[in-house]
Amino acid sequence: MTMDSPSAVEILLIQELRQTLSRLEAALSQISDGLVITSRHGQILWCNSAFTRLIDQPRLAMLGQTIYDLLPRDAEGCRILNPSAVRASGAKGGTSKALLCRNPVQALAIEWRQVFQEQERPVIFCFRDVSMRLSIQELRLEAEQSERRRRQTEFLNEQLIHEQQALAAKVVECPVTGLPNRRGLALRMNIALAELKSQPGQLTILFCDLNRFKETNDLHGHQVGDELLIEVARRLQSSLRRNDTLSRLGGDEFVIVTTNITNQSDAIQLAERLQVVLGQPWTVDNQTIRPAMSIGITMTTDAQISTEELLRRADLAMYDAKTKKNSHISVFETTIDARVKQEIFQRRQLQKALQDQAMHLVFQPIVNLKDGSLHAIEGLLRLRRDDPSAMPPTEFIPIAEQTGLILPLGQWVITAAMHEIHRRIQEGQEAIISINVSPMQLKEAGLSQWILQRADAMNIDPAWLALEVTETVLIEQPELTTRELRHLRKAGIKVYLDDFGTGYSSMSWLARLPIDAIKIDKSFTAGFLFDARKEKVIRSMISLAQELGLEVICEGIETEQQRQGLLTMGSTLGQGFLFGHPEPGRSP
Amino acid sequence: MAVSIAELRMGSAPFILVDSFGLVISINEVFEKVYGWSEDNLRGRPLSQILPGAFQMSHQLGFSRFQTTEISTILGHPLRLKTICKDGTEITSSHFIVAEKDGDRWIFGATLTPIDGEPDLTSPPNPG
Repeated sequence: MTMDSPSAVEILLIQELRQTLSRLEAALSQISDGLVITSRHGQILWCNSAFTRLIDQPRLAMLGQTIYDLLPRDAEGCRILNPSAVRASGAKGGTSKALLCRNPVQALAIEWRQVFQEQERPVIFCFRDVSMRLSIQELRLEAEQSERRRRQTEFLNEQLIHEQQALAAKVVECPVTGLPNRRGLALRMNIALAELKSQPGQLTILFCDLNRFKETNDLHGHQVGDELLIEVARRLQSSLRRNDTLSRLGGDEFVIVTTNITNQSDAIQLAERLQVVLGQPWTVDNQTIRPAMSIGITMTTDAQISTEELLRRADLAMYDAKTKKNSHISVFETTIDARVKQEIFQRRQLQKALQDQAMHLVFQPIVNLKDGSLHAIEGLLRLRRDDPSAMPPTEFIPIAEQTGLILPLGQWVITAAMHEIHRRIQEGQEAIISINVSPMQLKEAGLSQWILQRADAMNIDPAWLALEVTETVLIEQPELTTRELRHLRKAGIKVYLDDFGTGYSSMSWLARLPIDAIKIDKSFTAGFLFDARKEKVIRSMISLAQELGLEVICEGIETEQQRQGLLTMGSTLGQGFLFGHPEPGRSP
Repeated sequence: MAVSIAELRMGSAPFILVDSFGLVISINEVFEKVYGWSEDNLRGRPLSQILPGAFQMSHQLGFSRFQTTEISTILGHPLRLKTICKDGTEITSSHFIVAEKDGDRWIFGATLTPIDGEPDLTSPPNPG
């Protein structure tokens, strides 16, 4: 279908109409009242600039949307325009007022009327800001009304919370597993303790905590996590007697209460049995999971003990079990109490030091044994320069490894070493700075990239950095660590094999490692002058390293005799108190 | 550099040409295929025919404003709008509109590229 082209008169008329429309729209955009034209259902067809400012949306985005959804809520969170009230007002239209919770408070007078001359019945709305016209009395009344309603809502909320709490107090069952929850457990324990009063016996609590449950939740989602909890409950229940109680304390913690065990070895046997049953493979998302848990056990014949104390003891034993390398089962003893408290204290001290950046590096020289000239400097991490009670590295490094804090600590050390390199370059005292890298750091893919990016960002030649690694990590994850170290060596970073002679030390293995030097452990240096066997071992190590083209650094040299002896055996580099103690540098 | 109507017309997107009165002059084959209209359906008809009702008033006012002031906020950049198909369905499209003087009158060329799977910002948000 086509239309005839407009005539000259029609063209003129259209042009005049367009001009008129344009002027009217320009005029309407100047006024401060917000104007809107909607369909009779509230769908926005047009609005002026003042309305776009009120809603804070571009006009194009508002077209077609419903005005009632776009308008802001009033100070009490209610709609400022009621669609049914607008519809009911019909052709005569209506007015209303609204107080918007803005700063300053904004009062709106709203007026609307239908364009009843048109069949479509569009509605014109006018929003006028009357904040200036509100009398203090009106504002006070509005404020009082708002406050009254707020109090009412608050009262209702409080009532609701009390009701919820009262309801929750009656719930003794975990909704996921159907097992007794913490409250149900307390009830069961109280009954067991009451029975102990009337009939002497033994009450045993096994506190079970799933290992790496968070990993499952993170990898597969909470639904799978919940399914695993149900499966754990099923497996544990299947290994218990009828009058034993299995409960879920929350999260990944399960507690077993039993009065059927009379001695500690039976309790440990039960724990082992539970671990075996739980450890059967469980498949999810085409992946097989082998659930595992740590179990803390406490036993009592004391009917006066509180349920809280019993749970605390079992929890502490569980915490202790988690730190064990093999069995992950521990029975509560009073020494555990003190030990766990000490560990928690130390962990917090370490976290605080990291948080406050209260760490520093000390530096010990590695020298040429022939002339004493500086070859490199080893940077060693220390906590809190000003606090004599701060943990020594022998204490905090294992804790950092256990808790994963070694990763941020390691990054701090690398950065601090680079600052030292930078400072030395600036002062014309260039030297290789070597630092210890933990096995956990090396097992994290991307370490090499992170180091090289950091060096690049600080404009440092990586050749001034050396990393000291231990054999263990190279043996545990040879592919990843070898790849990372090769990447670093390619960029010029040196790799020293630390504590050589104390670990695996396979000679055939040594030839394949991506290293530049071996550091012979101080236990050999300390004794070789008086122990012919040690002397032979050192001699072989030096000779082997030299044949493989590796440098040898002997650690722990304290006397001139040791220096002479090692030099005679062919060692060229050394480190120890003879050449200098670890001293503070100027690391950040 | 500004895109010309000729360049828009040569592209592979659905294209529509409109005169200074807002009447359709022509559409290309891709436009016919995507929106279902034939050129005969639209030639000489108001452009508002392919715009949803809620946009028509704004379109007329915008058109009028441009004719009078020659100032526009919608030309030369993509606009997300709905387009009415021949069968009455609506397709959210990216409109790119260009205006050029043809003698003493304006003509308007636009490409209307359907947007697949993107949220329709011109519709009210889903309350859920």
